[in-house]
Amino acid sequence: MITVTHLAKVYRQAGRDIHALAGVSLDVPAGTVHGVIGPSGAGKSTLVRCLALLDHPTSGTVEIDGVDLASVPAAQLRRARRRLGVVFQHANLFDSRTVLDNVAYPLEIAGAGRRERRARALELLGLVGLADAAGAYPAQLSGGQRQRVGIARALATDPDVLLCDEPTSALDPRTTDEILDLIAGLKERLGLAVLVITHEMSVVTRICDAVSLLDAGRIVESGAIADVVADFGSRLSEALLALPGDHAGGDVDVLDAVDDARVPALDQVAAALGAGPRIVSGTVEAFGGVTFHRLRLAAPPGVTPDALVRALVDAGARAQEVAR
Amino acid sequence: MSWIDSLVSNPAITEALGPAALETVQMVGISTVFTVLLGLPLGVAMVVTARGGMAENRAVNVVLSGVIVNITRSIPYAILMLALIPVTRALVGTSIGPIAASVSLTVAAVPFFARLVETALREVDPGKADAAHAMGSTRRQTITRVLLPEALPSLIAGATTTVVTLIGYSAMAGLVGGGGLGRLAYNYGYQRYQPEVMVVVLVVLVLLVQAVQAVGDALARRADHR
Ligand SMILES: Nc1ncnc2c1ncn2[C@@H]1O[C@H](COP(=O)(O)OP(=O)(O)OP(=O)(O)O)[C@@H](O)[C@H]1O
Ligand SMILES: [Mg+2]
Repeated sequence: MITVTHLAKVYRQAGRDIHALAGVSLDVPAGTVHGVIGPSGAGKSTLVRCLALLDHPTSGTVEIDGVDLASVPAAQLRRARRRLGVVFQHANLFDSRTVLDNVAYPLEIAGAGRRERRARALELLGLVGLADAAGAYPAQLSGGQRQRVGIARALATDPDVLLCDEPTSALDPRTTDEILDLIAGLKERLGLAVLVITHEMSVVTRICDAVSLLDAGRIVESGAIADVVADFGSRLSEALLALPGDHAGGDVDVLDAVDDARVPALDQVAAALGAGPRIVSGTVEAFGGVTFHRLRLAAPPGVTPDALVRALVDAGARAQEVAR
Repeated sequence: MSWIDSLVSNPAITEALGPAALETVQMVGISTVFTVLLGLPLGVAMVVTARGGMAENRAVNVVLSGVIVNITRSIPYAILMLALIPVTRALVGTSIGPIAASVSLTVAAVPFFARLVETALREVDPGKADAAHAMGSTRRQTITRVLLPEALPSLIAGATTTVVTLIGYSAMAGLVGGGGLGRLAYNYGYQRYQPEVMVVVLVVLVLLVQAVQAVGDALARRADHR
């Protein structure tokens, strides 16, 4: 598992300090996927570079299995790095090597024998469903296949932590789903702690057990996915349960878990107000085994949004007036 | 004697051409070997000591890139080879012959090739070096097992360009005692005014350059898996 505490990175540029990371703390237990999502410029790339120690953090710690990568000397860092596999957005495969030799590279530099390297690399390629491509060169593969090779290579040293930097941002939607399913499957099988840095909400929806929102170098929202979604009005909740279509004209939002059996509330509300609210937009999505719904309602004529909220709450629903 | 007859009877062609061509090949061969041996590490050193490089070192980089390479490259070869005559004597005991000529040829070609090496390495996607480091590579491993193999097609192309340049320089080196085809063309084609010798030497040089380029291109293509 990986524990990050108070990670900070200051870049000096033209005599000015840029606080790309201003104290980031994270904890990813084994067997879970933690997503870090954030807008452009939030510090996502900086976070990846600091976690992988490609850039040295200004302060803070990156602990993997109790070893702080940020403070060990170079030789020890190289060994400690084998506990951390990194998957890059563009796979960053070595074009001069075959697929097999790409996957075998981490074993090669660790001093493993030829036979052992080959056997392990083939096993890993099997794990990512690419056993047939061992002799091919990266240029002959599709984007999704290249990313699979990148994942196999990241797993070669049998790491405990997988750090994925925008792993699907360069892929089409179908391939994205395949790669995400592969990562989720590997997490289960190998008990990995997976940290996924992304700007795509769909990645979080599909595979994350927990999520953090990074903004301006700080984590501003964080938690188990179901808790975050249930946090009415939070940025992550709004983004994860985004309302489709044009929802102007709505007054009140309702957010609940579907299996809370609160859905009949609308009937009760209609009875209480003498007229039912109009559903302007709505969405239903499952997170961490819990299905949530969010509805945007327009108050019936003659009923204030405030009254509608009260009626909904009386009926047992969680409702809030839409902020304008 | 007709122009054509002289092609098969002129001793400058029937007897001297072969040895002269061999001398040229010898000069170019020796200087190519030393150019690669010296220019490759120099090019690598320029990249790793550069700003943001793996072993950033401003002072070393300025000396290598700014002083050694830039100054040597700005001296015309005709002057460089004359200026290096004492150095050549000290190194190989003589300033005459193809081996002596290889000294100034190497000195001229090393910075040229080093720049091409530098460019070839810069073209490698920095993400590959990141990946190598993230997997626990040492700097040496990153250079020898990732950067150089990834740059191999460009390095071969650079070496080919260097050899072609050396063939050109070698003709000049021939004039001041290096021998080879340059000497032959000067002595017979120019001083004794035998244009057929000049033409034959030109044809041989063109064929040599074509052959080198063809072999270089083929090797580069074989090394390229992109
Ligand atoms: N090497 C650097 N030198 C100076 N400033 C930098 C450097 N790298 C990043 N920054 C700054 O740090 C901040 C965070 O950048 P970062 O690239 O980590 O954002 P990001 O979340 O990855 O954005 P995006 O989604 O656009 O890739 C930005 O303000 C950026 O300008
Ligand atoms: Mg980025």
